[in-house]
Amino acid sequence: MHFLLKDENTKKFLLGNEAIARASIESQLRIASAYPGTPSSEIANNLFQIQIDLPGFYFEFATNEKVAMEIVGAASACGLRALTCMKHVGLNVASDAFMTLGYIGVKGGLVVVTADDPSCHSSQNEQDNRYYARLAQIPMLEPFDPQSAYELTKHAFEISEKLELPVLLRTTTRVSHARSTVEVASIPWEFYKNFVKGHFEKDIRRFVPVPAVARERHKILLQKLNEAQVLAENFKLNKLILKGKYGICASGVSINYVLDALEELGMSEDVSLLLLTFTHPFPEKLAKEFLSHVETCLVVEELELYLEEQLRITAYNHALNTKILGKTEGFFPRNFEFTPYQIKNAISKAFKKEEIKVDIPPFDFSSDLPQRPPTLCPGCPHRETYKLIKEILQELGIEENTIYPTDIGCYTLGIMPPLKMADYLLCMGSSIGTSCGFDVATEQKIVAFIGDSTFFHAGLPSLVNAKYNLHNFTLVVLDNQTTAMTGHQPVPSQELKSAFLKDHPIIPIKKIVEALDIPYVEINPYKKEETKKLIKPLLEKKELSVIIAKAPCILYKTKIQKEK
Amino acid sequence: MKKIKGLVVGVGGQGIILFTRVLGEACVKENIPIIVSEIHGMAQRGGVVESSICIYGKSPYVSEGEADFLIAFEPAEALRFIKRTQKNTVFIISKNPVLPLSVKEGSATYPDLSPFFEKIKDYFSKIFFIPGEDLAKEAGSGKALNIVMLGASSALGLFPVSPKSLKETLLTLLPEKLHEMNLKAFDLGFNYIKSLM
Repeated sequence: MHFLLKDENTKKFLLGNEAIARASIESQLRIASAYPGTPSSEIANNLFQIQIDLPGFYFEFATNEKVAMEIVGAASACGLRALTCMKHVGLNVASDAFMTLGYIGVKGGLVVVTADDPSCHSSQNEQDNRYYARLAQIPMLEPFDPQSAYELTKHAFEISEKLELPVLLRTTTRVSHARSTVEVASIPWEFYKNFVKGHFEKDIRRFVPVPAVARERHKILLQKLNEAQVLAENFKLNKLILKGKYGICASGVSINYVLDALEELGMSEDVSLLLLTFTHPFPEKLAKEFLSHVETCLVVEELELYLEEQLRITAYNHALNTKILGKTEGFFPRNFEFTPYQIKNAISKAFKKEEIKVDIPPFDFSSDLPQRPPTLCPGCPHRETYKLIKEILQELGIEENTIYPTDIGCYTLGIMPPLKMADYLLCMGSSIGTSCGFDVATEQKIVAFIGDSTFFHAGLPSLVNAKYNLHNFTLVVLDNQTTAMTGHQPVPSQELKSAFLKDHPIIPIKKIVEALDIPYVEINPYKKEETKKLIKPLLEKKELSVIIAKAPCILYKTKIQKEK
Repeated sequence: MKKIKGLVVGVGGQGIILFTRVLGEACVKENIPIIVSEIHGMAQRGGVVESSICIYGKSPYVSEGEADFLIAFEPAEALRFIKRTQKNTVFIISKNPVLPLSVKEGSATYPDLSPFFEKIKDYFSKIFFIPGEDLAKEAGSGKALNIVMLGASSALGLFPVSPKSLKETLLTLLPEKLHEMNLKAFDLGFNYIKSLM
């Protein structure tokens, strides 16, 4: 049995992401779908595994976040509880569906998890997805540790069902990847005995947002937002603790740092607190009560000035002259995750007017130590493909004049020397779209790289565009049979697959390329000489072509062989 | 209770996650508050891994000058995280280096670390070196390095849980065929540190 299903009414030591998965199952989650992305991946990985033990639960890895969002939207419309989870930039992909889900609303509780990544531990940006809740006008909950992630997930399903709106559950890396004590309840085994289907009640004046319907639905959404406001004001996990005239308002992982810092500064009994977990709609009445009580309020939140702006608006609306100190005053930066010291120091500066000095050992060996940058694993097939292509382009004398648009995956590491074969990157699938642009804009040779999973995720529409609009470049699809970087999730073209997916078809990438009538070769990157002969003609010509480099990720191959 | 904060650092693939899981589960059993966090960037293997541990506190991060202990599975990694330590930090450092791929490929070198350790030895009073990987191999596999380090940490009383409790928890997390080797690894780490004291 999956370890997350074990133990009832006891304490477990869980990752924030595991706590979300466990709480979802305890909440009778019926259907979930996701595309993997760090730091959210463990939620989906665990739910994928859990379905093997629970006949009444269904999970699927969708080809991208938008598809996943659409799957759970429909599931919820049938009255079933549903969940999707993604990394922060995944919500950009899913945003088209997400923005209208609030309009048509949900039936079964629907939770959308976004895992943000301050400090870009494994991402291309550190966007603050709290603004997505405001943009979509739906409720948002923000956990600060694994226990609160567990509790808020349960609340999220309840709130969603009550308001008939999706609820955004927003974590960050330090919440998703923190491990701590979580008090779990019981698994609804009876509920999961069978997969009981829901039923879709047609209601075109709700579920088909043509303009006339959309206008009405937006009115309803705004009414619901008012109801959500009341829930936020009275939410028991929004903590208002009135003590002295100094106050701190915080959300997310910062809550932990604030509580520890106050204890270390001996100020726990002096400082009033507004610790928020239900942060959209912003509980303005609660904030007003807080701001009326304190003279100075320090705002502690990573990334954007979300709470800070809301507090300033609250103060303005109620003519309060509480001094609000935050990023505007330079107490905190708008980038990177915080450290406990940063917060302790800011509190001391704000309330004691003194900086905290820390004795940091006076040594710095960083420039002498060997670097351990992320690298392609020993034996990785991507490296072989890169080397091969580089060699041919060098032989043709055009390597120096070649642009390498790249994409999101292990192979982005082609950026590292000695390869240096990654020149431009925006997001999932961008290698192909940007190649279309480079083709028009420059005379340079273009060789783009994309992985198998990324190709299915966001590469298909742009490859069609490339063909239809007569673009000329060579696309290399690095088909390693898995979504490697996020921990080996399935991909539609994989031949090596887990037993659980044995009935799923194989969708070979070459068939898609054939259907588009694009010249291509399929190669084994380890067979250098014979492969070079195959590729060279494609790279010589200035026409659209595809090279499919097929060889399994060596880690995945080992893993799957062990399973069998 | 006074907070205990520390770092476990090393290289991807050395089993730091199991180390913190055993410690965490043992604390949970005894109702001791603990929070840990693991940061390992993008690489599947070979990158720098750091795990922050906070016992009796809430913060899943150890700032500069804050660590009560630094457990390094690799000697260069101990030096990399030195800014996060302070005068009284207890160091346990596995002596066996792990060469980065760039060094193996010849595009970088792995320096002799002894002059660096020589420089810091008067500043810190509690640095313990241990032939971690050698002991792990003696127990049966180099992979048991994490448990050697767990035993070593336990010998220094860094955590508010007993060696017995750690060993019992360890067994609940491992398949039975690995029990004997890991118990041996734990004891080898434990006894090695005891022999230095």
